[in-house]
Amino acid sequence: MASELGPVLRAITRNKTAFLLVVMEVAFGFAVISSIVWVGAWYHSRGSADPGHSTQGLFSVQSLGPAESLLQAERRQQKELAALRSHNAVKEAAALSQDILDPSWINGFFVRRANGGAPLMAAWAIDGSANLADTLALTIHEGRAPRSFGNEASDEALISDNLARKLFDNAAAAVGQQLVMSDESTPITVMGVFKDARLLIPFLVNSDAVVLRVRPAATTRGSRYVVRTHAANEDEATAHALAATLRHLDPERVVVVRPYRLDTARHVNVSGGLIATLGIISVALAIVALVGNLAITAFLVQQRTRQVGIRRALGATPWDVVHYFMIENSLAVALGCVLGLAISLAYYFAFNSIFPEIHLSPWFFVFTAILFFVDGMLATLIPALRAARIPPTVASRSL
Amino acid sequence: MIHMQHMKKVYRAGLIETEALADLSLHVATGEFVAIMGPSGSGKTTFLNVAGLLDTFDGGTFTLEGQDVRSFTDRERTRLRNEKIGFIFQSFNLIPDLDVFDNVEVPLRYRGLPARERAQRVEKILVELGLVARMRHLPSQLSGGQQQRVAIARALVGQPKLLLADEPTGNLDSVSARRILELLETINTKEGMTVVMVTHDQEIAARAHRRVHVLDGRVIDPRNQPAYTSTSDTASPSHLALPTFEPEPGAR
Amino acid sequence: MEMLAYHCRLALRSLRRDLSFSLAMVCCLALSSSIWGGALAHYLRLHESHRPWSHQAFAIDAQRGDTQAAIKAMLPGDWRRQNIVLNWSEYAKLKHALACPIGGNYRADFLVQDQAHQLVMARMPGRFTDGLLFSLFPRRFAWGHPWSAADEQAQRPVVVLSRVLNQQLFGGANSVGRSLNIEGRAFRVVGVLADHQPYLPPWDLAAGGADQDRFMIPLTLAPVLAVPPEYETHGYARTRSFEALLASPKPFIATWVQTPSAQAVRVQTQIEALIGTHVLVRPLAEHRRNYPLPPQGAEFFTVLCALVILVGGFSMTRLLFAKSVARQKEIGVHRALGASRASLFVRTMIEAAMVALAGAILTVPLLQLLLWFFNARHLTNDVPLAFTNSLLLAATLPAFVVGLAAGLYPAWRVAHTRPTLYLARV
Repeated sequence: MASELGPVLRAITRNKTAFLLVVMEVAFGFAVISSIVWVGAWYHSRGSADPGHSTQGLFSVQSLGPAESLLQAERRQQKELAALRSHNAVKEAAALSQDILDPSWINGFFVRRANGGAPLMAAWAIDGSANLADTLALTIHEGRAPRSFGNEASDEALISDNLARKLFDNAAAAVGQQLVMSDESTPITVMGVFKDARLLIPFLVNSDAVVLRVRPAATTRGSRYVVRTHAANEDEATAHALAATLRHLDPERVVVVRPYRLDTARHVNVSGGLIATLGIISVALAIVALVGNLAITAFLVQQRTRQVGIRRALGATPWDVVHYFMIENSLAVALGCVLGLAISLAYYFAFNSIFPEIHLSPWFFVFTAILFFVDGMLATLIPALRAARIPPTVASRSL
Repeated sequence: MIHMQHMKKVYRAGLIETEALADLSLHVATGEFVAIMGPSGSGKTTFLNVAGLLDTFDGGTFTLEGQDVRSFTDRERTRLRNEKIGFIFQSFNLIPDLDVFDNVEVPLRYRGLPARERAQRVEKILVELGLVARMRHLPSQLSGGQQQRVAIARALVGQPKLLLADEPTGNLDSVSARRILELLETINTKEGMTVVMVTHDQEIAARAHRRVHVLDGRVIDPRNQPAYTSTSDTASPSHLALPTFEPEPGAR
Repeated sequence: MEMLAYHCRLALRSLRRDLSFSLAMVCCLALSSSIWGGALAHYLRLHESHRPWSHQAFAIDAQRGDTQAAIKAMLPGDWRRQNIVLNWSEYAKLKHALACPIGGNYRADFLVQDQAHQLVMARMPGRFTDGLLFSLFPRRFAWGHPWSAADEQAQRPVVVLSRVLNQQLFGGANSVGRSLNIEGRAFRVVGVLADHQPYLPPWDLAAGGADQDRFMIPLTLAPVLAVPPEYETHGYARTRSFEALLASPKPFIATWVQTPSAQAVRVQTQIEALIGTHVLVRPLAEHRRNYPLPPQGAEFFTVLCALVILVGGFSMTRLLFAKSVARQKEIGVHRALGASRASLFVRTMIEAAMVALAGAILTVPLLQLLLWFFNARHLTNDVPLAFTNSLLLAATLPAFVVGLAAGLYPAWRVAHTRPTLYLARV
């Protein structure tokens, strides 16, 4: 290796421009792909992480109708919830204010500690009946579930582990503390902290800062429920049965029942589509880099046909020849990666505000570097193998 | 035609300097046919590059047709090269994309001649060299001898005063080589064109009016160099037969 | 001119000779510039200037200190712009007492059924608006026209359909006169819009790029239908009923006045006197300058894709460079035969320009493919990314310029290497 380095360095000095062009292309390519990698990795960590709840047998149910007074709506919600719970296919049912199956984006709020001092955090609040955490099968690892029953408003709330740590340093310290939310002046009390639950909307900021408040979640135009059934799959028959239960109470109501599977959510599709787009960009870029690399290596090999012949005549094995070109390409890729890393970091800090939750990991850069090395190796291998087949007679022919 | 005094040319590669021409002095009169001889690395090609204004030089004086070329800009050198000098290369150096007609036309294009005049001149020279039938052939479709004739046609089409030939027969078989040499002799005698030919072949050089020996970048007298022998300068070809080229079969 | 044609011919032959190189260059350029074009399509949609609006359209921007300070610069998104709108009582006062015409609007989610009461969508985005909107922000109608002032006053259930909803419900046919069930009431279609809604509709002061409004109905019907605004507004107590919302200080109505520019200051004073809130009355352009969109994904992708096109440029430079070095001998012959540096430079640049042109042309179908993918996946929102003239120019021109720039170095190198170096005997 060390003995090869000298000739390689001299060859690089002779072909400075070709070398620099490889370095620049790798640098910019590195910046783009590593940025895509960190956005992609972040997305993947959001999308594939344990949502903290199982969607097995879980349905989203909406009951809608013309506007009525909130009092009427709340009474209707109590009746509907009772009917759903009494259905023999249903394990548990809870009312809630919003879920991610909503085609429109969900509402966010600001939250701060009641005793001040801590920052104002953006959080996603879901109001619902006290058994919401149970219905979603969330794991409460600090404190306990709210004790209030029925559909009464209370000051009790559960918060996600992530939010607890942001507001109170650790989850245990959050239990019993009071919070103020931007939509109401009376504080709420943190009864417990649930683990790892988040709104599975990958490109949503602070999607794992969630507050579950015990509130009547009815609106003047209808209610939304999440229903856990005994069904192993979210089959149509169960969905029809749930809809029929509510229509039985009021045939005029519009009832929409959908399996609570993530792939049906618009947000998930959008995020997935964006990731697919990023994938297209990466692949296109890798192709562009590969083609450019292939051309320049082919050219370098062609330029040195005679030199390769001489080396072969002097006893170099085909592998020695391949090795030589590989070292040369690796040097260019390495330098390009270092430069690309600098561009990438600058880019990360410039756009940090868009993806504030992305934390850079050295693995993103290692992965990108490996990608470019493999790309470079592939591009070098074809012309280098061809060069290795150059017969030693080329040397004598040219002299 | 060419008047060089104490010419110097040094190539630099990093810290290493190679003196390709060291105090070379040479006079070539108009209408002369001179062969430049010397072993590999003696400076023959460098001399040809400098004489053909393809390269600059580092010391001495060089006048071409009475013009001191030292202070010429690249543009002036290019113009002079185009108008006064024709080149013939060992490996023909025809442009592979262009057919015979287009290859021969190239110098006239750069001179900016109108299309009609270019066509007349190219056709005339192709007729003279018996290449009319091959006018629309690509270089790859020609034999070595034919390719070199096209290269000569290209060198002559601009009616230069000086023809510089670098091993013009080096890549040809003996029959083709003889024909090319005869052609060069005819050009020299009939047109009065000055021909400077670089070669290391004694037999070929013998056909020139004068032979100049170059070693280590300077002109030498071969009689004083025991390691390097040559035939007598006084030997001259007995008869220069006018070469005849039959028109080649095949449509244009 | 003749020389130029000659150069073009030689350049074309050179490209044909190394066909695989030429195709690789074209593909590199087209791939990278179509990616750039895709990002640009979204960026342009975000920043496009829409059909001209009335010069008399002035936004009322309520300057409420209470929430601005708390929310400012907290998060990317459109939240801090939500509180610049008016609450119902402010709007009602101005509507009643202000001398010049005033128009409010707000977006909400509606329960929509067809004539047979079959559910179309449980939460369909629509907009309550005053008819003034149609004259302040003129939009093309495919059929019909906006509702009348009389319709508005009589609270008649009339609706203007978006192009999207008309397509969904009536297959894109003329649906004027047909009816639609919104919140349990039958609405008569009076007009159908011809074009898609802009990505950021200028009439919605709080717009952040959501799905387009499927329909518009008179704002006078809001108290009848009792459909609350789409967004809960921050910093205000939640209301228990729609009546309570109307009586609350919670702002949700984007409000516009129609006034000549010269009168704007006077109108501002009148508004402040009437509602007791500090407001700024200013034209839309100025308003937008004051509330620029925070950096979004569009910027992130655009810069990223600008880097992609640079990579494409570098790749092309590499290919051209490799090609020019491989052709050194031929270039030397041209130099020996009298080609000037300038002519060789021009010829290489012509070659680059041809590749750039082909790359720019190939960009068009590739970009269309990419936009099709975006639109098919409904990325970001349902306003389709359009292949507009400005996008065509903004995607292909950089491809061409980058292609030309990529040729500069190889061309310079071709022109400046000493001819003797090329002519070494082989």
